[in-house]
Amino acid sequence: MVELNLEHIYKKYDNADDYSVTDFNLDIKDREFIVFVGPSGCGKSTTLRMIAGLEDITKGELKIDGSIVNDEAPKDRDIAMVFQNYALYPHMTVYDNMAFGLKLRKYSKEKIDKQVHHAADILGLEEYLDRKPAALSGGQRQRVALGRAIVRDAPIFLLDEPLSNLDAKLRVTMRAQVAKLHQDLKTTTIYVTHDQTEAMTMADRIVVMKDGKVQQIGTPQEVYDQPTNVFVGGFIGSPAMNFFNVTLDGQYIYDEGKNFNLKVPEGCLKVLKEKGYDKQKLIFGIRPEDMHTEQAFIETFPESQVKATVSVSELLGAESQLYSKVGDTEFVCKVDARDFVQPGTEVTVGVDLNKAHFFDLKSEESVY
Amino acid sequence: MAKQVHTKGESSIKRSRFFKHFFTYLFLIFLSLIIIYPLLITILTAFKNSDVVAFTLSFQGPWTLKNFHELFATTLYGKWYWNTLVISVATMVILVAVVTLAGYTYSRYSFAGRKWSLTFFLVVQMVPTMAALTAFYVLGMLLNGLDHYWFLTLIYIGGGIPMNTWLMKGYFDTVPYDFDESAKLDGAGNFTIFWKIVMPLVKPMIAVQALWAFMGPFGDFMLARYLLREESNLTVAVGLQEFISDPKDQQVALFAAGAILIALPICALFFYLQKYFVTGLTAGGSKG
Repeated sequence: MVELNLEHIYKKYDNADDYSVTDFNLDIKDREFIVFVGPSGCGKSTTLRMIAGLEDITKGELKIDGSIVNDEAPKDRDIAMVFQNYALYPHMTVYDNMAFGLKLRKYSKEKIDKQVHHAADILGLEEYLDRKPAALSGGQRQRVALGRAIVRDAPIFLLDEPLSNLDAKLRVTMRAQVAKLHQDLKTTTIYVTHDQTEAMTMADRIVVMKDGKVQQIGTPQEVYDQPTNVFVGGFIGSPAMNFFNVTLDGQYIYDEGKNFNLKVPEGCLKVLKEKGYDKQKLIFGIRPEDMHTEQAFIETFPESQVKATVSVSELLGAESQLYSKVGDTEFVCKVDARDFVQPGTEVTVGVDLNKAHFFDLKSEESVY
Repeated sequence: MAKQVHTKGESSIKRSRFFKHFFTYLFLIFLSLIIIYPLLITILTAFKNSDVVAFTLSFQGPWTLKNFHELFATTLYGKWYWNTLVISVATMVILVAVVTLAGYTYSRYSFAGRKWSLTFFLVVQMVPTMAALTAFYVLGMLLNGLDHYWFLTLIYIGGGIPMNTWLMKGYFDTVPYDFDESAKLDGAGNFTIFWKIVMPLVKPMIAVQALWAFMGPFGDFMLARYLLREESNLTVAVGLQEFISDPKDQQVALFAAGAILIALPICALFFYLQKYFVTGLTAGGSKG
């Protein structure tokens, strides 16, 4: 049973002018799988390292099970961590790498042996125990790094971009393995990544960060369906959400060149008008999968059409992605593979406005 | 036709490869001669009877071990050899210990004066030993260290610290900091990280440092000449010079025999340390 509270955490490096992490607040429940996601330099790794005790906390309080641990040494926090570069001790065998932490904690030889073999068994490393890291492949090294962490049986698990050095296929396999590990071990886990797919697939809750600030905290579904601002909308989801600068006029929104005129659904319209956006400019966001080229959809919603020119089209097997342009704005729509068209073709795209997102033009915050 | 072109191309590749190797070997042979020739003369001389034929390249006997016998029976060579060994081993052990710890500290910790002192080291080691001779002498007088091994050893150690600390620091810097952090989370304290994690990874540099430190006193003439007095207190380099310092009575064969024996402990140490002279110890630890 372990709970983690980050209360108004700030980080400023000695030689920096600005804060690398600003006012980070998060309560992590027991057994939760939290993913910090954001572009590089957003402060996610720094936050993780502060939790580990590898970086000082400039301001704020970090609590583990209610007691403040700001000044506790990493070894006293009882946290296991997997590093991006594995950081396996090159001069030790796989066995010794995993046993090192246990030896330092003065476990008995039998217990060490039992735990190392147990971890090796879970990760399929039994036959490599006598090898040095140099004789292992990237995926095997990564598993040793995981093994070194789980062998400790620590209540908190930190993973710093653990899969970013693996090739695409291996990454998917390891992603599943990490997820399964969490299901089996139920260790409270914080996972840092810049890959939104990893975040979406593994997390109980996602923390989206940018420029040292938390943008949104929520379940993958919440973050995907109700992004709090343009950044989160654009960052989560692949391909990214499409954005158009539009003006709301009566029941309709149109873009600058009046290339399209879309009818806004009642409920949404009411909210927008209440917030005073009538005759105002705002940002209209729509996900690629909410744009359709099927005839049936277009005929059903005649007032939700955009005529665009396809500039690049990608056939991915089950689906196609059409990179298109309307006016000066580029957007992507994800359509059925059968609706694949050649570049240069004019297409009519039906927009599912029930799935529309609206953001304030200035603050970029979500308004609907 | 096509076949002809093919063979033509092949033979020109062969020819260019031949020339490349030819000149490489020519150069290597030339260098080997420069190194081997004097060495050979010294070895031959050491095993010959007369001083007259000394320093000519002649493979004709008669061969004898008389010089070596005489070296230990009639001269103080054995004492000098012992003196040098004591000084060398002391210099090696202390210098390696100091330099390794200093290098680690400079590489891993930030402290007041770190940058300043590193620059100071760099500047200090630019001053040639010669320029400091008088200072060493005065220092020796003040500390009553003239003609004492401990003083000479201290000078050797002190002289070795700046440059070698830089080298060690540079080598420690190549060990990724991830290892330290990982060990920290594993529960290791500062000393455990140094001793169990980082130190084993810098063995090649430590081996090099040990060899250099050991060789120094065997080869140094100047400092030993100035700071040691009594004939029985000399090191081999200074002692040997006595054999050839008298123009009327140059005991060349004795000199050669003594010189060859110097190589023995150095060779032994080299072969012992050879297994550490491998690079790439950190391979495999971090991403491939």
